[in-house]
Amino acid sequence: MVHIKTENLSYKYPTEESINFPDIKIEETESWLLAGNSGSGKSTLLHLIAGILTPTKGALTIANTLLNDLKPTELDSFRARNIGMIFQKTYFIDALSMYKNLLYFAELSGNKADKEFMNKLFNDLGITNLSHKKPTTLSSGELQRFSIARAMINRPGIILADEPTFSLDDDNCKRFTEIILGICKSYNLTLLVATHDARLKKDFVNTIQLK
Amino acid sequence: MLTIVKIALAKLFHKTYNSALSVLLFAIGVALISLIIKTETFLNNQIKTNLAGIDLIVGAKGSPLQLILSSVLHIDAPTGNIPLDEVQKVQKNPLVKHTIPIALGDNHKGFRIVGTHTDYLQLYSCELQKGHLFSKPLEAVIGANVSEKTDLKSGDTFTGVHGFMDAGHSHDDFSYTVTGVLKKSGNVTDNLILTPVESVWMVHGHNQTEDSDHKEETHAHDEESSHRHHQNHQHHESHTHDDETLEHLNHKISHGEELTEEETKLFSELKGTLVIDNTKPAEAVTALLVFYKNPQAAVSLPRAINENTSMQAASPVIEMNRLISMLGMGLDTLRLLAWIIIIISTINIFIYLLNLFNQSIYEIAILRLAGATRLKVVALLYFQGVFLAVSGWLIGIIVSYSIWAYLPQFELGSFFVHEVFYKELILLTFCTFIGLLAALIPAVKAYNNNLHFTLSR
Repeated sequence: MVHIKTENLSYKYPTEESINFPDIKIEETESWLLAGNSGSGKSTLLHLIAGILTPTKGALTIANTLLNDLKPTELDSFRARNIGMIFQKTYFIDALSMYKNLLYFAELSGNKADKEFMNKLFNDLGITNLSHKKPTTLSSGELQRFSIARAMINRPGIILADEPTFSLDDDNCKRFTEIILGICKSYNLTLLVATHDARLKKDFVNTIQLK
Repeated sequence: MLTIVKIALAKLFHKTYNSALSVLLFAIGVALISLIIKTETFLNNQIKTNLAGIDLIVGAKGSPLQLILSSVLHIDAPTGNIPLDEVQKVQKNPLVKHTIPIALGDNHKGFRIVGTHTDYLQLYSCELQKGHLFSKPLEAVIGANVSEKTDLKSGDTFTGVHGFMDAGHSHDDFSYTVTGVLKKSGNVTDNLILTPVESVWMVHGHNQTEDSDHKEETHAHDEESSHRHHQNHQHHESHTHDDETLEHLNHKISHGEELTEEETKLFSELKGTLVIDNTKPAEAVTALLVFYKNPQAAVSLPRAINENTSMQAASPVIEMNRLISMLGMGLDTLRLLAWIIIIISTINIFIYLLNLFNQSIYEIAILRLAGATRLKVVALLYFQGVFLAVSGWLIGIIVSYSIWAYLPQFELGSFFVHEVFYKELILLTFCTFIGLLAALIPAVKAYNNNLHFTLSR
């Protein structure tokens, strides 16, 4: 089943500059790399797919739902339930422990937080013993693993990652890639990683190259 | 929404010092306003309660405000004494319905000893919690606060000290016996020691020689009185005619007929010249509380006393209004200061929330990604603003009640619930509005926050 499909997608920036994207068709459980130089529109395409931006033209279908038809509040709810996102920076709330960060994130989606699933995720990602800590006390690698857990907490079908390895050293980059690919495989998730990090190219079979 | 509240609180508690500073500054402003509300309400109620429908105070010449403060509120030194013969003239005046004498001079441990009649207790609707009323000289009934602070109870004895300060010449030869203790009534009687007027006369020894000043004063009264007796004898015949005229005017007044201006003047003059012969020359009181027979007395009696006698007449209502007006200026200045503090603290909360928003712009973006709508994010910021302002209100109110509780003799009576707390609840509404106002700009910024731009930075 096609999970992400774009047709004639284009977006006009406030600077009036327009960008046209190639048509994409990603099947369920596939892992894709969205490659391109800085300014090529990787993040913009990822944000269009996530419903953060609205396309100027073209059709965008995610999990059989045409996003163009959704109202802003419906889009917020759809995104929360179907798409998990990972960023270069991890953006956790400093005031809360990692456990509460993820718990409240799950609650805000409107779902009842599945604590059993949360604990399983923590266990699978090897971060159970870090869950009581606050974000400021953790390393970048540890925070990125919690980012994966946060992206998966609402059991979405799709994970979108925007330059997730940018600030990681080689060891942590390798470890992150192994974890994200492994966990998407074991949880049957569709993965799209936008990056210009050449270290990831060898780990992905499918690549979309933006120019 | 509960999750939003939990996150909002966690973020505020995470920045403990900044949040505490914002709340503290706001609390200072609220505490000041709350204290002003209490002071105003307390003063107004105390004055209303203690005036107790007294129409006029007659006392020695001097400041009318001082006369009222000393003989009604018992918080100033008296203007002097007035001889009993003058007092009796006022008492016999047909415009006067009723009078209560006040004789001051001594204190016990700072609490004033007031020579008066039992009518004084009825005036303030005093009830006894123990014992009975005084019936003879050197018996005393004490107010609830007096009993509480001095440990005096029914059957105990005590002595007075000359003047109104605890330290002074002690009248050790005259011992008072407490016959009763009054229930707390929330008025001036709580802090008074009440005894027959004769007690004050006895203690101050008008027939003895206790202190030289007093002796000279008594001597002066004697001379003045005998001089008047001489004059009265010479004019005995003319008084017969005057008596008839006065009787005629009295008759008119008692039948509710209005006096002409000329008759009023004549009436005042005649009343001023009449002398009651059975006056004991040495006996005096500090003031006379006067109640009018009819409203017309308010026009003629004070003027008659002020113009034709050696005494002064002061209207408690007029003098109290003057006092409130004077105090009001001070309270207005304090109120202005309090509002300046509130405005500064509102700006402080605004800056704090704006910084908090700018620091957590990515966190807010993540909340949006989690499914929080724009309105939920706005609610988070509004909640933080309101929480800081309402916390400031709560702490300010607690502080103001704590300070008030430490102020001696400033007890909150039954007026508290009806007037003070009602005004403080209005203040709470205002504080909530201020909290919303302080969070307005951060909330608008959060509402318009471009998620794509934030997450791409």
